[in-house]
Amino acid sequence: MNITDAVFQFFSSGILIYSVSLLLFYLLIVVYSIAEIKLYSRKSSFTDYNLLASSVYAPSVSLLAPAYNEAANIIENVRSLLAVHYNNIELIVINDGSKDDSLQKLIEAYQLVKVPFLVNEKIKTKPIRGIYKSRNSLYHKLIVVDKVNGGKADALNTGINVASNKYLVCIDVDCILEQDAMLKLIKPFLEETNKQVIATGGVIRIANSCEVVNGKLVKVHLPKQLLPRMQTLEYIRAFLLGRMAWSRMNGLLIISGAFGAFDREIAIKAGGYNHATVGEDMELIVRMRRYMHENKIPYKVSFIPDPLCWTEAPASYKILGRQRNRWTRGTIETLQIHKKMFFNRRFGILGILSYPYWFFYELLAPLIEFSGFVGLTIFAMAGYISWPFFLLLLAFILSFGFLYSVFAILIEVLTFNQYKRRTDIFKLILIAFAEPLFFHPFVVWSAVRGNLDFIRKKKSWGEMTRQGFNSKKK
Amino acid sequence: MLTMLTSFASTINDVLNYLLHHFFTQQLLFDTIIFFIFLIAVSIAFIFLYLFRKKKRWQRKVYLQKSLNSFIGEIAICESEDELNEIFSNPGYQTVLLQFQHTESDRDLLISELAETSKKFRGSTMENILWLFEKMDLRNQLLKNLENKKWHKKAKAIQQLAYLQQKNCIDIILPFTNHENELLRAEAQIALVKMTGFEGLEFLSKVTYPVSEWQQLRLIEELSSTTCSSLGNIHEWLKSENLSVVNFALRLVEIYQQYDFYDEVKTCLSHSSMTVCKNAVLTISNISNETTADLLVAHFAGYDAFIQTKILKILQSDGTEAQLPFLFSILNHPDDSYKLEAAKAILKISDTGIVTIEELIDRNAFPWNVILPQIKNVA
Repeated sequence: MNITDAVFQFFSSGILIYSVSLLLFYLLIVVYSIAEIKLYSRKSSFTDYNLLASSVYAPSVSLLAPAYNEAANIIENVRSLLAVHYNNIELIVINDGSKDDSLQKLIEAYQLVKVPFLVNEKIKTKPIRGIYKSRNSLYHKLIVVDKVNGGKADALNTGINVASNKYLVCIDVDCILEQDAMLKLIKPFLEETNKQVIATGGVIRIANSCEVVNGKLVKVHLPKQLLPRMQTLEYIRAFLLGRMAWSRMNGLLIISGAFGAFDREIAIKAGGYNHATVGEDMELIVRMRRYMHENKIPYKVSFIPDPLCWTEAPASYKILGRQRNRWTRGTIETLQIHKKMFFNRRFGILGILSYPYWFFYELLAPLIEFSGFVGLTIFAMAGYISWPFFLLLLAFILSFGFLYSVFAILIEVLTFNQYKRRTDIFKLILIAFAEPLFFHPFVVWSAVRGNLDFIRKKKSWGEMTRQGFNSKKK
Repeated sequence: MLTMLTSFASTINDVLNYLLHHFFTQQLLFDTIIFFIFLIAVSIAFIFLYLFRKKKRWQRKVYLQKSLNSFIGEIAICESEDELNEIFSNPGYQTVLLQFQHTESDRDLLISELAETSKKFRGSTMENILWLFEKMDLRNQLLKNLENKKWHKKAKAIQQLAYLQQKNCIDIILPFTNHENELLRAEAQIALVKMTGFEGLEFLSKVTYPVSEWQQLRLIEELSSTTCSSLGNIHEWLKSENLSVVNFALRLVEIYQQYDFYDEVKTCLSHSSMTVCKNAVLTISNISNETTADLLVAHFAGYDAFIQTKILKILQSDGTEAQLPFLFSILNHPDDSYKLEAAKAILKISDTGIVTIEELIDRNAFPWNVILPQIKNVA
């Protein structure tokens, strides 16, 4: 056997073994997520969330909303957050050195005045320029922090320092919350008796084309544009199947930065958000978990399959590419910072399963997929593998992708069924067939570019222009 | 070394070669693809079949609910048993009720409707609903559900027995209050409290599993609609080995202002569990007397930061001049939030407190340049 034959054999067999192992993992994820969703649905049928909304004994929550150049919608967004269905709450809006008139608009709309306020700087942040509270008792829950620009992680850390309540809920200021989102997010902290729940997260859904009135989502529609529609399917797959399964195994490594709750004390002890990474949401969860492991405190990171938060998805390839590039860099940075946990039994399921899974099947997957496709195409052209075998291999991967997506739609229909019209479900199924051909290759390419940008030490977030919701005022 | 590496690479290559030619054959790939396509087709068919059946089921449910609602409405306003019997034997309503006899799920729907209705009413309306429940012999159906292997069916049955005030089933429900399934256990505990009020809390003396904070909130909410009658066993619960029971008992003392248990709560201030200590601090501040502030100061050093801050906040309302030396000592604490809370307490307790603080500290240096304006602003 010559060297070329050996390389070919090693490469093609490696790709095959990798693919099969990935598919087996996906099967495991499906089985686990079904069991977890079933249990959750049954438990939910016995739950009256309003109990938490009205109870004076409900735990106190600080809602942190960082804002940068959000002047266009800041008044409505803050109003929407002030109307959140939860009594024992303070809303902390952090103006992260916006260059626009966000702060002035807030001051005028909510009758804010600068107040002396001691901030216990448990986490080092950029300087605070002022803290504002309202003269109007109607807005007594609102605190606005004006600070020097330091990025999202720094703004959130400032919010953590200012917060006085037991739990932190971090939210993107432009997200739309379900009426009972806070109640559902906080409940897991109260349920667990043997372990300390350190963080919870819920399902994020795509709000493009949905009807929004006065900051509230009133009607759910499948996005009209192709890219957001494909992301809708992608989110259903990722949240309903992926995260539920990891939650059951207590192996979750990420709670979405768009909407997640944390135990304040543990977040501070772990050091808060890391502003040296663009994947600060994932990094914080990994660090909090690591802290709990290192201090031998039994803990859990919870995830609930209810759709809690609606966000606008990128509608252009340019913005989507930036987002996925950033996500890739964030993943690499987080895994690099915590490389000590790789196959480290000391960290339990986190070291043995979660970290290696993220390394092999999230971080390396786009690279292997890309090089596998290019490599096998070259081998087919060079005659090392037959074209029928090449096409069969491609069909095998694609058919599994279709099956996985259709299965995610099935779970969605059986559980939360957000898209009521049968035509919407039909469109989602069509998207399942189109997505691997038009969307997935772009996502893979963006991830490859993310790897290259990481090597080039690029640290920027990339501008995320939003189109705004299909919003109405009444 | 080189020979070893070559040999290793060759072995790997042999294994991969074997896998490639024996497992990942074209035929196997083809068969797998066909299998996947079959699964896709089945899943899609199932999705639409499910949606179709769901719609049909929903339509039937709405139809049954509609026909039942007018019947229940008539039953609810009856004033005598003769009137009830008359409506019950009405051929039109008999036809309605017959529709609920077809399947077990129809009977479950009827029970569910009665239970939901009973949640909204009291007095004679509730009695009429119960009369109908008895007349249709639905208790046996619930008891049958209670023997179901699925925990959620059992839990639902317990919940409905409670809504329908089936007090003669308490003995059947009681063992479930310490069941290994936490959701079944929780429903049984709620059911007892729903049916018997404070007496239902007796399960706290026997429960060996933790009562979660969520469950405690549910129990408190359930108790809020009844008059506080019997908290006789609270001294036993305050000494329970089950820490969640101790915490819940402390909450009950706090909510229902049980001053008689002051000494027991005082003992809990020295508990080995910090959670119990925290709850004891909160509770004792709600049933406080002239010795409480000194008591809290005496325990201060042994607590974690969270409880210590709580104590400083309690002293802002309950403190007296006797605690001023302690509070002045806190002004030198390394944690600035302690300084803030202590200063607030001093300001509340003593009219001249702020003058003394200003004499002790450098008002132009951080953190006092922030703390002083802040406490004056609040005051």
